[in-house]
Amino acid sequence: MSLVPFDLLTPLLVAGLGALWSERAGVLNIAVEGQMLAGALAAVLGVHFTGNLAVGLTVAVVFGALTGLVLAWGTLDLKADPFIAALGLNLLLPALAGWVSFSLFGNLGVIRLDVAPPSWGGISTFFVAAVLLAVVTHIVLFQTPWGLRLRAAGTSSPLMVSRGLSPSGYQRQALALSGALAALAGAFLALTLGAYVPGISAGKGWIALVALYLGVRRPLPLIAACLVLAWAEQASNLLQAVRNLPSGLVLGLPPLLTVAVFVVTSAAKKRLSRGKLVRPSPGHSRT
Amino acid sequence: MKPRSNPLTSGVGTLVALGLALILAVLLLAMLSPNPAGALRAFFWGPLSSGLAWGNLLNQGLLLTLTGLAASLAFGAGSFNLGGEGQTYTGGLAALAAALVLPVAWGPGGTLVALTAGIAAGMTLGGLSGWLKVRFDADEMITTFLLSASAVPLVDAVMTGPGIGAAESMLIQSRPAPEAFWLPGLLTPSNFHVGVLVALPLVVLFGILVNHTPWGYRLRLMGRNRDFARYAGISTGFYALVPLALSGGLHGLAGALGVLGTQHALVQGFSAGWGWNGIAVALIARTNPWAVVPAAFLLAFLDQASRTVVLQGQFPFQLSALFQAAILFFITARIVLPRWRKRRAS
Amino acid sequence: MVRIEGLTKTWPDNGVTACNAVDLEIRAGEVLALLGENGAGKSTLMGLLAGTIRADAGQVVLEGRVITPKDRVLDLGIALVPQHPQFSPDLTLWEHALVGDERALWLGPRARRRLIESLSATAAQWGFTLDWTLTGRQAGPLALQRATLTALFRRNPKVLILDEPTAALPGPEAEALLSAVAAWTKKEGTAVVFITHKLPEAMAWADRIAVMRSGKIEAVVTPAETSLEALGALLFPATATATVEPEEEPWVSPDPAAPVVFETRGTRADFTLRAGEVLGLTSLRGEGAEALEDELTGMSPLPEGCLHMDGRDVTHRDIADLRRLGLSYVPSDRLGRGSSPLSQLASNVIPYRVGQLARRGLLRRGSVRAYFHELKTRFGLAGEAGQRLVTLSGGNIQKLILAREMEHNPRVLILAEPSWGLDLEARRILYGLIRKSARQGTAVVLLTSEPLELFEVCTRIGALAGGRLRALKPTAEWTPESLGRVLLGLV
Repeated sequence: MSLVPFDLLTPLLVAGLGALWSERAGVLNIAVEGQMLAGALAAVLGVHFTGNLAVGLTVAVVFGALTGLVLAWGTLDLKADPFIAALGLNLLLPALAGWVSFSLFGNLGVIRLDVAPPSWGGISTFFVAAVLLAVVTHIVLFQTPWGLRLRAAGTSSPLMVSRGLSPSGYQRQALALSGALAALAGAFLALTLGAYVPGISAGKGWIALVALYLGVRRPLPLIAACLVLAWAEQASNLLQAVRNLPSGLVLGLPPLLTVAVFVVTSAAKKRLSRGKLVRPSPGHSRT
Repeated sequence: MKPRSNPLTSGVGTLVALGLALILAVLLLAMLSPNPAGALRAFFWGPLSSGLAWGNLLNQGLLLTLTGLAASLAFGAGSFNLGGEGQTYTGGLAALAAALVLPVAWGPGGTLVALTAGIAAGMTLGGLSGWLKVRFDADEMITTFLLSASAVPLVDAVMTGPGIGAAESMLIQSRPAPEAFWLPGLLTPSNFHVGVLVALPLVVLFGILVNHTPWGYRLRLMGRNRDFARYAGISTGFYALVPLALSGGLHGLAGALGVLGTQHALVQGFSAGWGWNGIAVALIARTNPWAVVPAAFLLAFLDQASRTVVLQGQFPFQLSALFQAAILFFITARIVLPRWRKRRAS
Repeated sequence: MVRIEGLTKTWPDNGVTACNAVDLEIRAGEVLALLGENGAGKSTLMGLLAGTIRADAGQVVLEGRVITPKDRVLDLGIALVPQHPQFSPDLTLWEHALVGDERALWLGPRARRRLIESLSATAAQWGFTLDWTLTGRQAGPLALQRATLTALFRRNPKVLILDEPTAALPGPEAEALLSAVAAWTKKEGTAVVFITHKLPEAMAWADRIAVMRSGKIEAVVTPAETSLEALGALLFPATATATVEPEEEPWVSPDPAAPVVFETRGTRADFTLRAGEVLGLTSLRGEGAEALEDELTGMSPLPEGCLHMDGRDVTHRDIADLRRLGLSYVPSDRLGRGSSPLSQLASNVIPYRVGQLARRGLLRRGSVRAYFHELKTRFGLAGEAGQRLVTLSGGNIQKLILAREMEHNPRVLILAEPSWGLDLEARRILYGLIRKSARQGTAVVLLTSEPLELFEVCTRIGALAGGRLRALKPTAEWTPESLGRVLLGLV
């Protein structure tokens, strides 16, 4: 039993990063849960048919990006509500995964692999990759022009427009990236486990969104938030094994904790913004 | 979180969504089934082909009516209730717990008490989010979701625990409720039972309340333009909290009905997806209670049709997910047909 | 360098022609001041020039080349710094300055320091320093304006348009900015257009001054050819009286012994209002009148002082309470606050009546429609009960809002920018309604940024400048010029 639950932390972190990119661009992607599942299956299929880990990962990433583009099409071109359209995607992807699984293997069961997850001196390579991704996200988001424009698109579309830029291009890219990362998270999950299990994502996608919020939408604090949530999960597994406590008791705690934190922060925000109304008069730009 | 746009849908978007979903399904059936004709027949006729089929269709349609009504009440007042699943599950637990505790002699009275317990449980969850919104300005979309996410595993823990858990069973479930409190079944052996019929008078009740009373007027105004509602002196706190509480209560009722009427016990995960399908119904019905019944039955039909096709071996996949997904994806799209321009009165 | 030819723009939703075949020339190396009161069309004209608004007719010619709608005007060299620029609360000022024009592959700490240095150098050129690490949320409107100025300046524009650049600046800083502006144009052969209402600045720094009224350029003069008084007269001519025909009935003075209905004390704008009075409060844009709207109606708390209604202290009450005490309010934001655009007309007029219209708890559609028709007849409203509000024109929407707010004879009626966007006929009706209301005993407060309309309806006029009430006198003791002078800070 290690101090850092690497295997629990990795998929959460990568999925959280996916959500982060979309949130920063102003189009929060809540289809992360479904995309994780789809990515898990895609990766397992890729490895199953080619025996090559890299192929599996690539297939997952590409498919994830595609789903992200579909969401972008619905949100940016069809002007659907991003939340509800993503809900639709979240319903579709597990069903799609079931159909593919059934078509290829004739059942909806577990697909086992013979490949062991790679590791570096005992530490999972996937974990290292996840942390690297977080660092790269931080650098790209805050220290490159593209990242700057993406953040501008997410916080003030009119600002972009006033500088002659179009926000939707950046938002589309962010959604594609978000899908790719969510799928990659699923891939890591399945390849570490060594199998695809139906429902493998088991709500981790939603927890990743919670982690995003707890990690104040920044990549490096996100690592800490994911760590906390991974510990919670590890504790629940331990308690289950050792004390025979129902897992439900401990599984139910992280969301409750998050509600409490969320409420406190909302209250604080409310107090800060009271009385600081800057309302430009609506007629002022029209004379 | 950024402020959300109001996802009230347009008539065109709804029709497109439904049409696309249907076309997609028919195409898939025709192309991929080993027996296209049989598949299509099973799809369109299956849910109506026997007493059992009718029963299941009616049961599901009425349950969806309840969840759709729940989602409509929240949406209509400008709030998002994403906690349907947890509220339903908790309602089921509350009803079961009441049934296990009450003296069997109470009979139908006990059933009523148990149902009320279910409503109260759901109302508490929904109302809690409403209160958090009013008091702390906490986004109800997040709190309803998170509270539901924590409720589901907690209920799981309780229902398998001492006193409630079933001794031996294939499914993870609780002890059965005493038969005295069971809701009489209809069209057995389908899932249909007397209890779900309560959805119909509730539709009438809320249809009248929402569309024909001052209270409903203010609620709808909150959903249309909250700033205007506040400016007009409407109590935004009240109309944020009450719709969420009612919404939770209706979900709780659906859960209680599922437990007492169909399964006669709390079965793990029975409420999975009951939040999202309620939202889908509410979107199709555009939050109008009167339209919830046809919308719910439309979705129920599509769902039962998908099941029938699978059961009869005509098609291996569950199409119902495809339907819901397509509907949710397209229904809020703003597809503007160029011919339809706003006309101005001068 | 830039020729504006016949530029016309009519706003579709209220039919007001903001710019009427405007011709203007902007020469290389010059500083052009654009003067005009609110509603004159200055901002629209500059929006048309900078490509943020699309013209109905006319064209802009930049260095001999006609600008097409497809052109990115910013890339061609015309940059507009608005008074309230678009901003993002989370991005820092240096990021604001960079967006869209980063000129760097890398924005790491070292590059950042270099960038901030260069930005500071540019800022120093213009006479100010900024903490570039502040976020949009932390920086005030002035800092944002300056950051935007620096940002657009980095693009080496040929024409720089500044909207009220010195509005929030104290004397020495305003001078520094304007002298930098003048020096830049001379040195680079570029042009600057600045919109202002501060006449002394225009006189001191502009090479030419253009005066705009009602969508047309009234005059273009050099400072040498004119004087402060002359400009004041151009802006607020003595002859500019009624824009609408006078009412048939004579204007009845309110009873000086009428009870005091509405009163503020210890605030930026103290006044005492009696039943039957119409008090007009005005300022130039940004000089204080707009903020009163929220403060006088309970929509946001009073920063200082207290508010009394019928002798009762209502300082901490919100709009719901004030309405119950008899206050009515016509907001400036008609669609965002004053109505529910997607709802039906009938729904929009009944919020205060739902309780009364219901019989045994039920709201019958018939009674709602009947009520709507009653209002329609009384106030001459357009449209059918079942129509959606968005389908009405702006003027008709305002009429509906007025009807709703006035029909039950409120104690106090507060109107904010009620005539914005209304054509002559609609204004006439508006003023008639206000007068009728006052005659029936309502105490009316009219907040506007179009000072001249106050002469139509008000019994007293208060002028704000620099955020405070400077003078409050009966209408008879004001003239358009004297009012203008107070507003412009010339007094």
